[in-house]
Amino acid sequence: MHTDSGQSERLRRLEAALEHYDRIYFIPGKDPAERVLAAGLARRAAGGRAESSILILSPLAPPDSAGRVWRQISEQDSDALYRLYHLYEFSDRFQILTRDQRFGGLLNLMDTGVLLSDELLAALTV
Amino acid sequence: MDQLHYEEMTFNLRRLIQQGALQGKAIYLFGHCNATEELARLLLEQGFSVKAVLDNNPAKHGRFCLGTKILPPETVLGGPGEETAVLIAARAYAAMADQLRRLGYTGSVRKLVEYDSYAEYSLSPETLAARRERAERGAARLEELSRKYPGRLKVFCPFSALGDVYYTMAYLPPFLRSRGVEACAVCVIGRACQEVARLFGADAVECLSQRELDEMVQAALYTDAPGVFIAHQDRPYVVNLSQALRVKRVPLELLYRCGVFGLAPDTAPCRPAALRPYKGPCRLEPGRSVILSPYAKSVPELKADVWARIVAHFQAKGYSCYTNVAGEERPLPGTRPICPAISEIQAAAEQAGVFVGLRSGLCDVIQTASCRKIALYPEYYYSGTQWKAIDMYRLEGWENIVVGESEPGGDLGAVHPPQDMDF
Repeated sequence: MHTDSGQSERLRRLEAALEHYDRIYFIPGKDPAERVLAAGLARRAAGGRAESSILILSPLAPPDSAGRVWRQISEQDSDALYRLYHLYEFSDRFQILTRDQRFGGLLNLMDTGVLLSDELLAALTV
Repeated sequence: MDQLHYEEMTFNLRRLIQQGALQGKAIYLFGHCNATEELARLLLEQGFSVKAVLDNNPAKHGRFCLGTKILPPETVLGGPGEETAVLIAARAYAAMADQLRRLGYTGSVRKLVEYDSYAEYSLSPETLAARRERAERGAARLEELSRKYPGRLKVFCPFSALGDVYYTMAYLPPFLRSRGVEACAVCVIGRACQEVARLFGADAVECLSQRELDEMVQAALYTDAPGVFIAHQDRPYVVNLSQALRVKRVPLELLYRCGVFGLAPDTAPCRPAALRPYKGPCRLEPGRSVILSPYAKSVPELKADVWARIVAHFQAKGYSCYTNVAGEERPLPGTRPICPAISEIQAAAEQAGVFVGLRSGLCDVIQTASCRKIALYPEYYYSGTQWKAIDMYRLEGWENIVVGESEPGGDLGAVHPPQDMDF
């Protein structure tokens, strides 16, 4: 994140989104499992009563089921968000959904059969 | 609440009082937990009164904490912000402070204990600059570590808890095999965790402070450093495993085996290989002694009378009673102190014949001991989930017993006294 006007604008938009939405899921789309998960999450969020309070940010094109909960962002914004998220926890409303070799996560529980995919989606959105 | 955090809290409280930050203010405490209860006690001792304890759990509303009513957080809006102070000793400070701000609260919010150095709910330029500096410090330290252990995977245990380190070490060898890694260096916080790591024969164990390790972990994340693995089920914030507990009971060991390490559910854990015989000054009468372990870092304590009854029970049966103590901990009345090293505690328990402990990480350390083992569980909910401590921590081959009610400072031990136990 460089201190340029692009970054300031990005942070301003992020702040506004954090004020508005109860939860923001960021899906960088680096792993095939994410895409499946993202589609399920979007379907669940769009179909739920809390549609207006959930936002999905991703450089991936929205799946058909996404409705208004999906906002496609540029690769540049995606990279910047990814970096910012790993700099510190700036909100508990913002969560990244990806597989990371550097630590464990819910996707491991799904891979090993401890959680079903529906349970994983429920765990994320309850 | 462990001793270090307690001292930090008392220091910060004393400073607030000296600064006059609490004088004449309506004081609220946010988050009903052990630490908050300790804080309430300190305030009362200093002659301050607490207006209310705020908590998000509706089930707690209307109950009392040391005579102070537990109420929903909105209660704080009842008076002018400038005449109010909210003190937070609970873990989720950043989220709680953010919640108060969103409610429209404009008064002061004070953090009494720093549990989580990763969180700061701000995107201000100052915050970003400070966070980058922190990451740079961590990166420099990480570089030093890489120079010291070239070619090794750096395994970070980011929380100072014996049980977490135990499970990490128990599943680390199969994990390393699954990744094709030949050697690693394990980083832990504090000497006790270092001892646990060494039980498993680890040849490279670095002992760091919480701050040092937090900074390195953050740097590893931010710089995408290669050759790093963060081995914890809940820390730092990027690990989302605890969310599984919203929908399913996943015991702690399974969280580590499958969630942290991604190993198959039937993977067998490794057992400690570097246990030593007990050579302490106490001569334990073999099979006729009981080691009691009433102290734990992050588990609500049992009331003294619960332990008094347990001691009386064993003494009536002719057992010699010992209390496992460390540092300034005091032996239970009528018992003698014993302080074996972590590598000796299993041998000590086996020599004694009986071990009775508050369910803590120490129970993990001796989980394979060949003796009678009894784990006592205060009836509290695990980390804000619907699962009780016993649901998460139950130990195979142990007598697992729930004691009393869940509320810290409540009637712990009075409702289900340990007479129920078949000693």
